[in-house]
Amino acid sequence: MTTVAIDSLLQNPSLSFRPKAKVFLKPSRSLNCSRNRKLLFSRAACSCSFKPRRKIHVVKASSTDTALIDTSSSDDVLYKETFPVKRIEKVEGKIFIRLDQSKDQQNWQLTVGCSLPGKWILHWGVSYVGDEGSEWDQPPKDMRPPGSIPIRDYAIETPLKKLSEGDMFHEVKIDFNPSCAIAAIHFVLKDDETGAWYQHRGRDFKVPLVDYLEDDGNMVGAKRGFGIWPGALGQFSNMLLNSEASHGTSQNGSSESKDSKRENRQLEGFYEEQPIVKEVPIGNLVSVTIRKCTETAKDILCLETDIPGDVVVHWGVCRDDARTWEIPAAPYPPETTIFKSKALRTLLQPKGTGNGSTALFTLEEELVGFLFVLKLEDNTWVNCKGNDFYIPLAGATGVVSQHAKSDSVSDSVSEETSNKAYTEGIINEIRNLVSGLNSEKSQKTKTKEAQESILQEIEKLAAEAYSIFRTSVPTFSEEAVLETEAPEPAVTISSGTGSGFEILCQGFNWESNKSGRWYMELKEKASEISSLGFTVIWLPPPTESVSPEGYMPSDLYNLNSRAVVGDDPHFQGRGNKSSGDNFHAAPNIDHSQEFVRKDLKEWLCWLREEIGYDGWRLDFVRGFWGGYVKDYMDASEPYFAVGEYWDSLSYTYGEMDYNQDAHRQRIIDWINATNGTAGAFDVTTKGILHSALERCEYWRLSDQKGKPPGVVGWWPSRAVTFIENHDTGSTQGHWRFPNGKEMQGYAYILTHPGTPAVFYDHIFSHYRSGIAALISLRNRKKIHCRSTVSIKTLLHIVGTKVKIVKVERDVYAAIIDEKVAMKIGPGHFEPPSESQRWSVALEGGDYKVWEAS
Amino acid sequence: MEVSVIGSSSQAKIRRTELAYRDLRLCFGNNDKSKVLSLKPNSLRFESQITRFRKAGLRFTVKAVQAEAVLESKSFARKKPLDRVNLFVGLPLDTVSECNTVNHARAIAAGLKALKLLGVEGVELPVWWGVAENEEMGKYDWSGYLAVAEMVQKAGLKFHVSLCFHASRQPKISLPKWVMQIGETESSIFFTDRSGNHYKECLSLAVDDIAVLNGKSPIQVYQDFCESFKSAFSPFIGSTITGISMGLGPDGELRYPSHHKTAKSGKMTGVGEFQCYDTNMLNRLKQYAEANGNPLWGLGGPHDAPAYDQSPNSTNFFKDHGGSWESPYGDFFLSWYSSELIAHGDRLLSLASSVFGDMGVNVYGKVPLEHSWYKTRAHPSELTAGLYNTASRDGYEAVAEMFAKNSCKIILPGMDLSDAQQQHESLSSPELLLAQIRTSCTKHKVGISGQNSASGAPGGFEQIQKNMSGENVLDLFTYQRMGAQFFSPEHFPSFTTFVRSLNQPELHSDDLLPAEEEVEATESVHRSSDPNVHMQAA
Repeated sequence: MTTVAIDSLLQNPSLSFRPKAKVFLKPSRSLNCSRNRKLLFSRAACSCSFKPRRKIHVVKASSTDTALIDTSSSDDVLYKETFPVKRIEKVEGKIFIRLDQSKDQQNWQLTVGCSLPGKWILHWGVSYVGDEGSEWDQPPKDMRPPGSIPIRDYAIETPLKKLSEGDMFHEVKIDFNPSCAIAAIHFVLKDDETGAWYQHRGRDFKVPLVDYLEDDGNMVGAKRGFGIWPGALGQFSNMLLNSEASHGTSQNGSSESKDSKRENRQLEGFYEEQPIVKEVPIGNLVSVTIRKCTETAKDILCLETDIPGDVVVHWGVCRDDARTWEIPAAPYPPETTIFKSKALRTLLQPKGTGNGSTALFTLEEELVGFLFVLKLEDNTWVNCKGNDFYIPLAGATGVVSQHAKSDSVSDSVSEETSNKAYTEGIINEIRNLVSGLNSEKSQKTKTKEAQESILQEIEKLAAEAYSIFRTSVPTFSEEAVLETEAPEPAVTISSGTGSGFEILCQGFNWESNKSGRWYMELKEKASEISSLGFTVIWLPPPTESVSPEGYMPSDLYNLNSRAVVGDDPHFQGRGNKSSGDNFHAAPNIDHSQEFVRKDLKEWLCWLREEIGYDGWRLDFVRGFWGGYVKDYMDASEPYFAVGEYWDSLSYTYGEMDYNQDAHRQRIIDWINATNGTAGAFDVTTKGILHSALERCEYWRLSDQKGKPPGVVGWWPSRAVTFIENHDTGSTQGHWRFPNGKEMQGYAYILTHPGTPAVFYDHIFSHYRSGIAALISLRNRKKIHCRSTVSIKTLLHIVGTKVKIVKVERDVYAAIIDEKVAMKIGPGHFEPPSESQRWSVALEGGDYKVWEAS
Repeated sequence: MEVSVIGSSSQAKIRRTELAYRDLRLCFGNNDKSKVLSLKPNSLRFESQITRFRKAGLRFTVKAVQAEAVLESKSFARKKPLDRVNLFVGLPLDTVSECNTVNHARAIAAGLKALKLLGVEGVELPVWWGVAENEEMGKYDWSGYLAVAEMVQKAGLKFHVSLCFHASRQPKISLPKWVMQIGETESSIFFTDRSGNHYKECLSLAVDDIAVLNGKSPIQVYQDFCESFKSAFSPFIGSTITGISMGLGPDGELRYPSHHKTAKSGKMTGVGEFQCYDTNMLNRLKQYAEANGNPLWGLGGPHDAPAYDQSPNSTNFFKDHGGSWESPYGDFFLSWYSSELIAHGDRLLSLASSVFGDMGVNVYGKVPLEHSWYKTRAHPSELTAGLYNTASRDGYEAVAEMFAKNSCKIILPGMDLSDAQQQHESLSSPELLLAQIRTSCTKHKVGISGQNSASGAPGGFEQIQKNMSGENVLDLFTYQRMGAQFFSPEHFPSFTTFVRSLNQPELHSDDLLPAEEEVEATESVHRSSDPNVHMQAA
């Protein structure tokens, strides 16, 4: 029976998983399919976004209670504020690939172009005839177009150039001689402006130059094995290179070839276009004006925006400072519905000018504030720096002087807003000062501009300093408080943390399914992985699925993904639980349905008990409430569980904000909703590490209270720290860790609290020894995911509390548990030799770790 | 090419260093031929912002030659107001925490940048005994302070370090742990008042030379501390670090802790109490009395002095007329009490100047401004603090003389206080007292560095400016102190105005900005016909 066979794969001691090592599963998108993937390969997934199955109560819009906006409002503006908002617009364009023969008939030319504006870079390499595996090699020197830069020893980066000034098209041409033993040219496209990578079906584009290459699914124009790609992706012409058709028509002297393998190669030119979607950040404005209606004494709030398309405003009002949303009494503007009895939804009406849209709201006098967020056509939300937009109403009775305005804003609790108001206030004052001085001569020299920018700079800095000073708690008292936290019980197993000493190995990458027998390959590596010190291994999804990587499951009880069994006839497994009926779960799983949850719980228990998985990795948990996760965890009692709550960090004009508290709070909220039964990937830490390492801004690694700035700083035991996974890195590269800085990243996460996860590609790379040394140190020094606090003298940090000892632009240093000291960054640091003697445990490029001896 | 200006139209030569503080310069990011334009005398400088202004710079370079020429031709017009005050700003008291980390480092970094852009000369930082030598005697940890020094250096600011051998209440920074441990068993190392209360925020001056600290005397321990500081900071001393002030007592000031508690706001400051009741002080008093042939006077302090918060007339000692202070006993006691203080100051300052004297830094000590009751004849607040200054005796002569002897400069606080703000009943006069001390300093050629009152509300810029523009020029002025309040919208703009007014003491409208027509004039180099103007290409 097949289940038995799977059992033996996972649980037989002969597998030499250490008893400690846990097999770990990623049910992935089975639990939700609403992931709004941004890039090419997953556009298919966008179509099945999560739709709440709620009844929407439509407010009957009779003519008496809507649109009662009196035109008799006075012209006195009580309040006016314009909020800049950013949104991502998807611009569609195409990538074209052309292979043709050059004029001299000797060489061939591959042209890759792109129709979208951007700073495009072709990241490419070749594979040679006879190469094993999917590694790239560097092309021969004469193939590299001018301006090419070699990347390590396997790739070349060549910028695409505009054909002519003012032309949108960018392209690059690669000339090559078909008689050199190149089997294929591989490439991906990178946009240097946004850092985004563009790939082909989640892999590199592959232009085969010989006809016998195995199709891994990413060949340009090769016959598709799967008919699963809907839309444009599935429609492009299948054969770019049709070697069969060209068989025997020798055009370019293949007889000179010495390699018999190449004799039947015939190149044929082709031209191929592929759709591409680029995300372009667009700045828009939302402006709010409040006027007094002279007749009714009500406030009339006018909301305007220049965001194109349909904009729905979700709005409510509040009666106190707590900003609790409530639904005001009618009248409402036209096109208003009640949403979940919590908010009103109003479709903004296009402005007469055809540019943007607007709505007018009539509001009672006694209300304190007007709250709203915007929902755009593409289902993205626009809020105000992570919070709801908040328009104070009560304070809006006075005159609209600059002063009153900044006051009313700073009265609102929102830190950002008040800071902004503050800065503006000062800048204005200084401006007055400057203009006062200058008016004496009324000259407009450039010096004045320069001077004004200095003054602005000064005020900006002062505002920054002010906001930090104001919020920082004196270190002395805070640390004292930390020490007195009740010690948590020693080692108890909880699904949110495992034993607390776990080190996670992500045992696959985006390519793993290609092997066709990944679970078997991993089995062979299991003892090796275990010996490196890992305690938990995370396996790719095993279920039969739509995507070859195991996502989008079609039959949850059929453990038939290529990753598990591939072509091995030994494992044609179906679960005995499966009746063969279709699983209840549609692409949009409605977790609120009792029967759906029941089925899922059954399935998880089956995996846990009969198959032998020890834990879960939950994909895209943003899509469903953490409370359901708690339900699933309670039912399946995993040894360890972790969810991926991945959304964007906050940026201001392209620069990552220092304060990512809102971001980590959203992750913490989710963990909290699961009641701590699952941990979550610390996306915040990864993001901050990106900026810190890439831009040498190590100060980002200490938050305003001197703690780590990610989830690990707030809820270390539930933070699963990582620097890369199959989505961010591997061949997808959606959010790749800064190149070459990986070891600094590992020096950070493997010495810090939280449960660190190491990515497969990094374990089996030249980083292996460095990572192994860090893991060994972590295990030796018994660093764990949280503190077992023992109270010692004041001002000594005990337990796995990180004492950040030095944060500067170019160096970050911390002492963990008083047992391990570490620094990353080019700057200098030596651990203070007050109470311990430190000896260097390991060191590498821009990182160094000491242990107390 | 860098162009600087030497103007000799008045008696003082403008040296480059001084110039740097006064001139608005645009440094263009042209690596090889970076130009410095002295566009606008008497204003801000912003070299550190080169990158920010690179764009602007590009626009300038086109006309660079002309612009230089204009400026050079204009520079002679500048009145020479170069005896200006160097403005410093104090960093937060808890900049370095007890575990030797830099608190709110990012805020400070931003603050430093802002100050630099404003044209502030440098910053002052208290270096606490209780932080750097906290764990055990002779075990120093300078890491936090070094980190700050690096930040300051990086910001291109000067650095003034205050060595604090006292404790702070707010924020709470105690004396070193090991000292406090000794104090638990040996409370006589602390000042003690008539009622036996110990003042644990600094050591009694009577133990200066007694080996009470693990076999070493406090003076030796202070000396070791200074030596260690010197070696740890040697790369900075004389370059970034331009001044070191030596802590002399409570709040670093040369005084007795005659007021254990600072007066509540709105309440009048009392006269304070004499602090001569620890064993060692009493011993010394006894010896002194015996040596003077009055052994009975050496049994204790004055019995008829008021309590801390009382007014002078509540008991007999400080009465304006017929008070004991004027009696032979009073003179005997006050002479001894004040001479002990001056001797203590002398010990510490000679120590400091022997350690740091050859390092190219100025050594400072701080003298208190005990201005309450200054308008009475007895000056009781000064007397209890150990400054024997009355209507009939100048107590600051001896102090200034002691500073002069050690080649040290005096820090004077309270430059923001004006008489008008004082409560009438307190008979206080900060302005008169300040003037008196400054006269003594001038007489003994002791340089003065000003401060605003540490405890008082920030502000008082008018008064500060008045104090700075007097005939006796201040060496530098340290504004206390960076923090949330400092950068707050209520305060920072007025501080900005203050700094600008300092940097433009006699702003002539001609000096404001080069007029447009002049910028565009091409022959301006040749127009400069003043023989006193020399141009020097450096």
